[in-house]
Amino acid sequence: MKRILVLVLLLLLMLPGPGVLQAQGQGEALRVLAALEKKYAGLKDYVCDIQVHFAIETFKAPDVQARLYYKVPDKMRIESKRVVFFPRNGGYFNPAQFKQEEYTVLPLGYVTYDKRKAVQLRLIPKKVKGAAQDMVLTIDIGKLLLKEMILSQAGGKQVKAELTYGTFDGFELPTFIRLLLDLPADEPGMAQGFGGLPPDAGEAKRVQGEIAISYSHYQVNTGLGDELFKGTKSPNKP
Amino acid sequence: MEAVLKTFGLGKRFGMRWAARGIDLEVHRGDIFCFLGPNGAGKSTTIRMILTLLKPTAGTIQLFGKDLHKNRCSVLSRVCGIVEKSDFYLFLSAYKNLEILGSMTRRIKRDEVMEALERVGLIARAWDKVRTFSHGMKQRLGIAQALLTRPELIILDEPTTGLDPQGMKDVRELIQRLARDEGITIFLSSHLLSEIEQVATRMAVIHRGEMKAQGSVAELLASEAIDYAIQVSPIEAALRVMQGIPWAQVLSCGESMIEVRLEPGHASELNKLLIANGIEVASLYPRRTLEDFFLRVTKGVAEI
Amino acid sequence: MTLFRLEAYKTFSRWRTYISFGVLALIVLMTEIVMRVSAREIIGSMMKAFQRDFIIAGNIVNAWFITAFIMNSLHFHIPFLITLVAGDMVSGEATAGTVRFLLIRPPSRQRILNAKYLTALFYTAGLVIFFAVLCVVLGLPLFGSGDLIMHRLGQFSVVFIPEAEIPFRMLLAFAAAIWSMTVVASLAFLFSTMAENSIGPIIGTMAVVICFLIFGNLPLAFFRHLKPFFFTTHMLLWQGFFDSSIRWLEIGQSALILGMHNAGLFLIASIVYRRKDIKS
Repeated sequence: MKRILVLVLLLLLMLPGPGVLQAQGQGEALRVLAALEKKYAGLKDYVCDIQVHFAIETFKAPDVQARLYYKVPDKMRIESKRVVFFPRNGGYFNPAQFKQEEYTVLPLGYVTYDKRKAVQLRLIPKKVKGAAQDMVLTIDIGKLLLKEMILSQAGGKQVKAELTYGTFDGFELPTFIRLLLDLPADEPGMAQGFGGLPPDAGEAKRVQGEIAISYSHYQVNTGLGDELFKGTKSPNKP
Repeated sequence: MEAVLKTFGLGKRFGMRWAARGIDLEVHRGDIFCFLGPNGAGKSTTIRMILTLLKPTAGTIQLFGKDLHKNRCSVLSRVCGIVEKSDFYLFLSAYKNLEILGSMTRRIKRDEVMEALERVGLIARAWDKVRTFSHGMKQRLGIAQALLTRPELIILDEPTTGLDPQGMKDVRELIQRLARDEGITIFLSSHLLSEIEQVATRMAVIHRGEMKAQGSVAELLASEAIDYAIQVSPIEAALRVMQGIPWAQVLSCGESMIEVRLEPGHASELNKLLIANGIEVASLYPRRTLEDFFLRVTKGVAEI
Repeated sequence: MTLFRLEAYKTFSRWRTYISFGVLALIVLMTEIVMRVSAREIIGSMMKAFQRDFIIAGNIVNAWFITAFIMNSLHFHIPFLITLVAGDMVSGEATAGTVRFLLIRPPSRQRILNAKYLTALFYTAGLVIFFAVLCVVLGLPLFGSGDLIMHRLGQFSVVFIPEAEIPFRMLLAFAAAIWSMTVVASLAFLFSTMAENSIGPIIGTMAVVICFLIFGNLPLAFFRHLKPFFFTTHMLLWQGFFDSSIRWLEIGQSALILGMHNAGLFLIASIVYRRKDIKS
């Protein structure tokens, strides 16, 4: 009996503690992020055609075609003959945005996504920039693909991006991003007054809807110059 | 004689006050009919009712034998009026003013406008803005716009107000010429006796909103006693003769002049009587008879 | 028609009539020049709510946007400019003394009043059309064309109007704006029939418009109940043409209410003036 108790105690001592387990999970998360970053290390720039479709009750916009230019680390430009409201967060693929040094990475555990094993990571910015608060990433471990991104922003805004990929010049890039929005209808701090359209009767207090963005005709690593992005602010700066 | 204007019991009340009451006018074709009364008597009120500027409180108006309010368009097209002073669109030329105002009655040709301006002596100023016109010129322009529509009746409310003596004379002569040469009936109001004496053929007197007298000038004056100024010598003898005459009333006596009031039709008789009594009659002439008549009527002395 | 032609000639022969056109031209010109210079700043302030979440590309500040922007102030400055003429339409004749010539003519007072009222409406339409043409003619070279973005201030709400649809919608919007402004003209006209000079009608009309605008925008339950009855509430019916789908029913209802206002005001003016004694 005494021998059994001693063995049990020895076994318990050998098991890693909560801090150790956490350290191991975070290590795994950082490894996944690093692998993702490494996967796209060769991606310097891309150009593609996009089609944006809005399905938001208070955002009555027709489908718009535009051309998207991207260059690492965070340069982006939209060109369109018509007016385009392009979602700032989650609307385009920027693999360079998940720099480990900029975020505190917390593992949330493993999930099954599209019948595949995926890991969920929570990224909390070390410095608050733009409107993003924190992100929850769902990464397909096997393919090392970012499948889902949930952004929570200040003011109770939440944006969920679901990504579908295709392969272009050796890089797996999104062919379709579905953004699901859940935003407050009134912008806090904005004055209500004369001008613009009159308020509808019974307006919703929260705005929920979807933006579907299709990407096609990718041209990867064409050597885009910085002058193309001059005059456009960083996507993170409103 | 055809009556071009008739009013039956015409009256206007402002609040509790009757500005005109029981006005029964009759203006015959070809008349120069003067509507005489002091200021505030009701002349303008009556004229404004005839010209539809005021709604009558009582009575009716007939023009050319037709009820005015039932036949407005057809009767007013034969009438023209100037109420108080002639006011025009100052920002328009004389020509344009006449064209616009005339076109409201009938289709007006350019030649007709120019002819009307010529008749009142304003042809040289046809294209000048009316704001550059003097008061007299505006009055003449007013008469031009009255003539333009070829009316059968012209109604004038105090037409010589504000005019200098030459202007007054011009207006008087124009009135007489229109009546005499073109057969236009003139209905005008005035408080200037000298003006009426010179032009009127028929007249009515209004005082405190009520008609006091109406008829031809000659008939009205003939029915009244007339004051005469007689230059006689010797004056004492003349006084003795006149004191015994029942139809003569001595009013005053000077060194060589006696003022005497005679009943109608006795002037020549007095002349004969004085001469028969050896009195020299140097002159015998009537005083301002219309003034006397007017004063007596408005004080309620005479009754017609 | 002759009477209308004569009244229109008189109205448009006065230099005072063109003050309104001059003022409008100045407003539009200054606004568009300033907006051309400050386009980025304008987008920043007007699209603040969206710029946090969206990158905005394309020509937002185009001629149509500027026109719609300026139209939002339409019910502030145009009523005053309308009253300058409509308020003087009848009372001006009394002031000038020409009423004594005018009303003794064969045409009845009603016919003369009809002609004057039509002239006031014609002037109103002319003013708004001038405003519209000026906005577009100046705006297109300065800002170019594009889709029209309409948003509700302070709210996450945007309407895109495709460029191809804009001319037709603008036409309808300005027609609606003309219709809404005719009520102001009718009100000024009514006051003009009651007065002997134009100061009273001008001040009276503007006082009514301003009071109704203020009452209609006060966030109090009492005024909210009264709001549907204020003609100023329905003066914004033109905005219905800039929604994603045109709100025909609401626009029709507002247009009908405004039409009833016009009819009622003109009826009262007719009754007043036909019974009025002309003492001046």
